[in-house]
Amino acid sequence: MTRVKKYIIANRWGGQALISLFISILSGVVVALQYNAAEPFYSTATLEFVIPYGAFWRGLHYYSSQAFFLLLLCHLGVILWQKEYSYTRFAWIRLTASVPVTILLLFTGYVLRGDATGEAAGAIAEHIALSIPLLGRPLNNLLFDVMAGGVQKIYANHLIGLMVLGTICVWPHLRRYTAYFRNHALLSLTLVFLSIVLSTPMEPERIGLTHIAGPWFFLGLQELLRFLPVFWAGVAAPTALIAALFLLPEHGQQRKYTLFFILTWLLGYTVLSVVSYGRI
Amino acid sequence: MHKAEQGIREERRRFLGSSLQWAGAILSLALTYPLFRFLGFTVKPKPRFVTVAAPLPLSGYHAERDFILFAGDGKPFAVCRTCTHLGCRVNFLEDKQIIECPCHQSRFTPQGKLISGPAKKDLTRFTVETKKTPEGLISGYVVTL
Repeated sequence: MTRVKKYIIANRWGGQALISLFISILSGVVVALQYNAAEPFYSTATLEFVIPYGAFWRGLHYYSSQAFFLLLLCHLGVILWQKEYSYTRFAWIRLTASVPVTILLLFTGYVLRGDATGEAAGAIAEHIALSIPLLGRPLNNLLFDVMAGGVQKIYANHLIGLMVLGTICVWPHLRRYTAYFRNHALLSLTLVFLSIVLSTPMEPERIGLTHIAGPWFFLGLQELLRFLPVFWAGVAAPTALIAALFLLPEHGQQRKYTLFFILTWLLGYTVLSVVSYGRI
Repeated sequence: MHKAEQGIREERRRFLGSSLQWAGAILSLALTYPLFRFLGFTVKPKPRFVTVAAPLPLSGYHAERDFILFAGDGKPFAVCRTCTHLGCRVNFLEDKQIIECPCHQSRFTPQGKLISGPAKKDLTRFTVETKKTPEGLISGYVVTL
């Protein structure tokens, strides 16, 4: 247990997350050169089956993006556990805002697939955004707007908007902490290897499709939407978690309570995700 | 005298600088209104007319990307395939004779009436017109989206 704990603490999760992100960006540029947002599913299918090595580049982009997200969460988890940081409230919020931005990046990537999962995800996200009073319509117009404009805005946000936002969030952090490919050769090779041997998910639209499972990190949300009104399940619940992270006190009893709330939220979400997965 | 002149110049510089900043702020603020009006506008989609050739299969229905057309014994009608819960594409389950959403399993009758599930509204129905040959036989169905 102590060895595991030592390994977890000593591992350079942040550097690994950054290298995964670099690979994701590079492979994303490659994929974007052949991707056509006017025909999302056709484009994804041609990438997968027609374009030489398209399946590899698409796979590399997918797996490096997933790795980035998971490693980012591990990095955050260890940081919160070790409590070896000191930021002003603004700096903390700015930095941790990279987590919801990352989730949105991953999510928009799913929608861009244009398959059954992607289309459903886009439609659900749009309706969730529209459920927000006052700000819902402008927010949807900015982020999604799938019904009116297809994946146009989602593509623009995935490529540029969210990347710029993410960079703004982590810029001071990146200036302080760097990562080099040569220090993460094993990770890089693992991602390349996974992209070769594993297939990348794609769910074509078909008449007999009776169940669509959303992106894995939204399975819990999908389950919650079954029982609660859209605003409470899709907006209030996730916002509670993000707000707790943003406002996490630096020390004291309040910090313990907030961390307890975050862990309880995550545990509940995991249970819902498992229930949702069981329906597949 | 020289110091007084310098002081005046600095004061003037500060004033001009501050005025420029204020002007910039007011201009940016003024631009937000046309910006939000522009971004917030949704262009209404052109009406689309989708023609489905007759006759339909024996099952009596035909599924397109955006609608399911039913043309059995009675008047033909088409229901929108967008679920009224959260917008997922619904499917017609021929064996159960219901329309079901694969996302959260909201269920509707073939006519689009809500049966069960988290959806609250019936499915939208589209106008269907029939195209006839000179002999009066139905050659196709035109669905207006």
